[in-house]
Amino acid sequence: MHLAVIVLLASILGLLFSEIFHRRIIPRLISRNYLSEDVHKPDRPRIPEPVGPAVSLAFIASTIVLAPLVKDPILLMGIAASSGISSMIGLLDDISPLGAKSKPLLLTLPAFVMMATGGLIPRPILPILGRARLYYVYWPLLMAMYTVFSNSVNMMDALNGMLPLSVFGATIPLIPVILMTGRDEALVSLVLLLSVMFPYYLRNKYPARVFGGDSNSLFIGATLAGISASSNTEAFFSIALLPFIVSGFSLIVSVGGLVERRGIAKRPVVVKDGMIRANPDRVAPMSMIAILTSSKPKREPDIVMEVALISLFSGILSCLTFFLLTPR
Amino acid sequence: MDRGLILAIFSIISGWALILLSLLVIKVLILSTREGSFVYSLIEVGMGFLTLISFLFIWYRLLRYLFLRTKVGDSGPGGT
Repeated sequence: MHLAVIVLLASILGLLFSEIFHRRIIPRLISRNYLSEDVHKPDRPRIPEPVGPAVSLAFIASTIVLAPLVKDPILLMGIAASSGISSMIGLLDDISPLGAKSKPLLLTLPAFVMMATGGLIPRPILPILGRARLYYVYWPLLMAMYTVFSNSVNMMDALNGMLPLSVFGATIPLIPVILMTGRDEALVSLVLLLSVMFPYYLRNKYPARVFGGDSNSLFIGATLAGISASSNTEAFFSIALLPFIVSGFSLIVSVGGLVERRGIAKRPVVVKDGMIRANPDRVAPMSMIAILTSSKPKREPDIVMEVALISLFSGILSCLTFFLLTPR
Repeated sequence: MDRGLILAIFSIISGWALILLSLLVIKVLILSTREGSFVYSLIEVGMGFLTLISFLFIWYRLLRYLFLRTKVGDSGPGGT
């Protein structure tokens, strides 16, 4: 079947499955009192969480339907399976918080699923260098990439609609890059991911009616890692996800290592009358939201829009790096 | 456009430049060492990582310094 038809089918199936799962899961979360406080609102409303399984199950169900249509169905299923494992780890964390050190370690597990597919080529495309030959170091790097991507995306899930909107901004400019690599499975997975995230975004945007939880953010991070590994575009995804990585890295370094969110003594930002601003305390950690609000307080939707625009900027920067600075 | 947004854009552009600079250093290393030996390949990878880590350290210190200056208006010792 022609690639354009498969991509169109992927976007329709993703939207449809995601909408169905959202409609099934949200009432159940409300009836079972799975609700979390929205701490950035003055009245602190209680919102259903975690809705992540609606997104990840829609992705897996759509992948099963689409697998027979692509060249390498095992690789496509591998991306879905590894993302599904990450979503399960996230769900475990949502129900009973995992330790700050055990979570990154557990998030290397999905990398083994990808290795088992046998579809990965340890020759990533790098800016300036072209195709590298990393036959030995590629595999530990792949495990590290899974945990870095998953945790970075997780740390970006801080404000209403910020995670889906910034993922849209960072990854849509990478579609021509993936097209150039000729890995149809990666393209189908990316389109599928963007489609299943859309119904979630409509419900998570300001003012949020649902929260995804770690089962959503870790799933998205792992899917992005899987897509980049299967298309050898790891470096370009890293550049596109720079706002996520900068935020996560700065936060980890400024708190002095891996610390559970609840264990951070000083918060990076303070909220007053619905306005968010960087914590004026000199020892408070640094994150992307703290950087953006370092000079003046801002409203939550304004910060989300700025992060999305920065993500779009890094996505375009990544695309330009591929076409202008990468030997092929 | 406020100073916070400018600093955020700076963090992205400098992060991108850091990646490219590290890759450029690795390219120079590859061109200047003998090819084919496993030991040499290992040294190349090790030096590549060391370069990245040292650049990352400098980059983080600079970003943190600028962030604190923007946040608390700290102009450093002797500032006005």
